[in-house]
Amino acid sequence: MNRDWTKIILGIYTVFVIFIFYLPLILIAILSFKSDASITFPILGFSLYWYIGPPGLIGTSGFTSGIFYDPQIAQAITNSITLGIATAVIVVPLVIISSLTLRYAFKGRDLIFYLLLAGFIMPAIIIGLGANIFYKTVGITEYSIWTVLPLTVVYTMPFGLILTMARFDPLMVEYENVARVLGASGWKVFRKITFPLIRTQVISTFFFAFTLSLSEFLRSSFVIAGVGTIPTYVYNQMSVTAPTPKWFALGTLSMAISLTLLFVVAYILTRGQRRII
Amino acid sequence: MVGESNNMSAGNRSESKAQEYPLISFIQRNIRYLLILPPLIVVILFLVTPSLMILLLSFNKGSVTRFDPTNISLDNFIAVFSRPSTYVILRDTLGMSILAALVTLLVAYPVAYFISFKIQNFQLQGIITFMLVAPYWVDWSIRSISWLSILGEKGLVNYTLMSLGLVNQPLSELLFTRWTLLIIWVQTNLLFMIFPIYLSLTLIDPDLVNVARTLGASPFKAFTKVTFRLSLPGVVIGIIFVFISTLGDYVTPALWAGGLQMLGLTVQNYAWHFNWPMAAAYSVLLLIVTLGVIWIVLRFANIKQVFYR
Repeated sequence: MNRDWTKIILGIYTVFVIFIFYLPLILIAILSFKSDASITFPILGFSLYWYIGPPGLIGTSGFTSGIFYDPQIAQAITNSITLGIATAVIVVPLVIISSLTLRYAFKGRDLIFYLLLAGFIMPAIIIGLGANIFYKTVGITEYSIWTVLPLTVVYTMPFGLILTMARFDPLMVEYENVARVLGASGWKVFRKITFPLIRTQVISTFFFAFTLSLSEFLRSSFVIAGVGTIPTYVYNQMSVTAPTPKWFALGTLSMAISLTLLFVVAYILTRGQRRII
Repeated sequence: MVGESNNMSAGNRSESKAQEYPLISFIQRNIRYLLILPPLIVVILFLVTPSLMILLLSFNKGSVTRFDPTNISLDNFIAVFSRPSTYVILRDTLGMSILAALVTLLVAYPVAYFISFKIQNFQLQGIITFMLVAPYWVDWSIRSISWLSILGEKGLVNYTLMSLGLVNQPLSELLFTRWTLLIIWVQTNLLFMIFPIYLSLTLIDPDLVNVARTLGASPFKAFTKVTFRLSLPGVVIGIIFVFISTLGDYVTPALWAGGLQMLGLTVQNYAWHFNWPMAAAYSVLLLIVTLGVIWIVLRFANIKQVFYR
């Protein structure tokens, strides 16, 4: 028996890394069921208070309650999901047209390619600060998720571009030409040949854009006001009160939703035993 | 080449039409630029313009919030470069970011290698990658405070050590040091290192490695001379990502680094105290450092060739 020892060692290592990667999340899930207001050990008892508890029963400040009793959390979740979907919906077509166009050589292609990737290279604080100055200069003072939207678009588009372009089928242009020679219209070529070839990248782009903008804080905190998104809301709350398991309850909820959704997507994408990304 | 010939045939077909309507001929001649225009406009409007505004503002004095062309001076830059603290900040920022990028690379590479080469089942590959993405749906600030529960005085590590009787008093130096910052940075950026390396590893033709082995290369040599070299574009993209995200991070250092001054933090401090021109000057310094590092890292691999020829 010739065992693949590299495979076994690497496998154990990968499982270990994933465990460390998930350790904070496992703790978040366990501690969210605590019956007192601290986020540390030991755990003296379990309850669902931080999910469904009415305001004011536990905790020093009178207004702590379970996440389902907090209208501001509901607002922040709505804002975050709206921002995530809006970003993804804008980024996907932008990535499709720019990645397909960049396949061909034309004057200034390199410069345009680097410009489109600039959101990936620019440090977060410069994007945030710059946008703040930009909005002030053009006279926009009402901040909301819609002033954040352009920033998340600029920030997530390079990710979509990178993973779409790195995975292009080398024969894609040839397939398209065959279809065109056989008389297909431009739209039909796109619908029947090009799009099916990049379908998995398009779905990955959507999810990447959504995921990255959902928890975007460093850029958005400069140009958002009011309740804001989940990260800005939680951060602002935590800077005025001590952290409670309430935030862990919110984290556990998002974790449960994300794992379910991602497994459904992974299942749908891999039914045909093809690469996802 | 194929694309070009195809263009010409499409051009011939509608040539008569194009002569009648100058607009159509204009669109046909510039179709590439017209298609790339919408994403380009977004980037120019919300990335290039704001950056230029920061650059302009850094030449203003006092506490203005928008560029004033009558008030131009180099005072901010003179202040930035004459302070000894600037060099300490630069050293700490660069040191921590480089360390974070290297440690993340060391942790991530074997994982990416395992997923792409040792798992033949695409479904399993996909599930592992999605498992690495899922934690990012948990809010960033929530993940951040969870470190209190792990490394804090009453956190998991101290609690375990004390229950096992290994220490009598909780270790207080687990949190708020530069090593805390390093651990958190590696953990939060891991995916963005694994992902591009995985992508470039899957693009490698396994036959190339087999050929090297057949020709007598040891497994180690085949790895360093073939596999690793071909995966360099992914490695470079991963390093750039970790580098940029740590350089621009102004919250994690403030929360966990125990008073360590960083470049991003300095920018935020000035912005917080409404000294926008100084914030802008430090931003310009940050941008120069960033571009410099990217320029150096890009020498190691031709990134462009991964995306188009």
